[in-house]
Amino acid sequence: MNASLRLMVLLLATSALLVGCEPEPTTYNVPSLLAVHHLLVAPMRSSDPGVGPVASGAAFVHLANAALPQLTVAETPILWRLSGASPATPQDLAAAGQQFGADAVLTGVSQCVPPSTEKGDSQVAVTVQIVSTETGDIIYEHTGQSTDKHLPTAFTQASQAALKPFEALVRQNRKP
Amino acid sequence: MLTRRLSHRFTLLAVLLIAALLVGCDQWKVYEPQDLAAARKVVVLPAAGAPGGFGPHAGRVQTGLLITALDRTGRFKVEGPARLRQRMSAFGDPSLWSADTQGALAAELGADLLAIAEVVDYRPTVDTRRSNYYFGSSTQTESTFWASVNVRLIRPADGAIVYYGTGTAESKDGYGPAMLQATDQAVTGLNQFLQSNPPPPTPVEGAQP
Repeated sequence: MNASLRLMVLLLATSALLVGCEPEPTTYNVPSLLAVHHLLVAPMRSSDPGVGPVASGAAFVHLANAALPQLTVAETPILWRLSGASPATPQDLAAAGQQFGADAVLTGVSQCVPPSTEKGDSQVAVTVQIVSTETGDIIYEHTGQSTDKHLPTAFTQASQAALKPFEALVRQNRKP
Repeated sequence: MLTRRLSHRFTLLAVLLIAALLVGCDQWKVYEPQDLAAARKVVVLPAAGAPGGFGPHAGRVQTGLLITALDRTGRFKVEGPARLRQRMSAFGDPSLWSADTQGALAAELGADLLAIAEVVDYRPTVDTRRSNYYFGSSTQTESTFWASVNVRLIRPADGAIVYYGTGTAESKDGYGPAMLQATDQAVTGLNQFLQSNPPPPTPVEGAQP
């Protein structure tokens, strides 16, 4: 076996291992997810009031940058930030999303531990939930985690990881 | 021969690495250039405070800084959240929302865009340095104040993103300089875009086409 072939086999084996190690989403309703064409992003929940809006903002910007085929993302800052309303149940979220004309609402839970020293790392965990506005059911739930010195990067990476399976599903099944 | 091939590969790798770094360093993006160029009035919504014990009040500071930064562009009429908050109080219950609630409220105030910000990072770090001398030792502490902000401009009618910018800064002098610098960084792209895209001419009433 020559060197390049050996290298290729090694790379394939490593990537197969890495793919195999990726955690699966907790909830993954493929037919319902493929019916989502208009997604409304709502603030995420968190024990610290500063964490939720940052995490949902990161998820919104990530999806906007991803420009997934046949998927529009929207946010309604006037409604959430000024009214002080935070729909507690998936059914409330579904009702609010339906009124906005969305197929689904993206929400979730987020946690963050900022670094305490200059050289320390921040830890962020984001659990993205997608709620169908038609049924009020959670059709997607996946957690992404990140550790980085730069707090905004940690939020971006965690949101990205939490959305990865959804993103892959849409790209695989829809033509641009 | 082998050395030349290896050096060629390293050059290619270096170019790819630099390109990846440049892509990763994107601090701002304009998503809807036409809407941004045509916008004349922006309503700034309350910014969210930062995570952590020091963050809750950072939102208010950021709202003020963003109003000033947008006003300094010289392009927009900028309004704070007060009037909008008053009008929104009638719609506190999500069951009263409709597809057009946000668009209608913004239209009432004549807002073309909504500005929204989050303070992602707002905290001090304290580093302690200990020096040992022949006759004893001394301990010095040094504080660094960190600030990171994300700014978005949203089209009210459909909630689509029009502009996104982010900024991060640190200061030894306090939160003020760090927040100011981070906000300026977040609107850098906006300023660049507005300078290179003059506003479309306003149609004059009664003018002949």
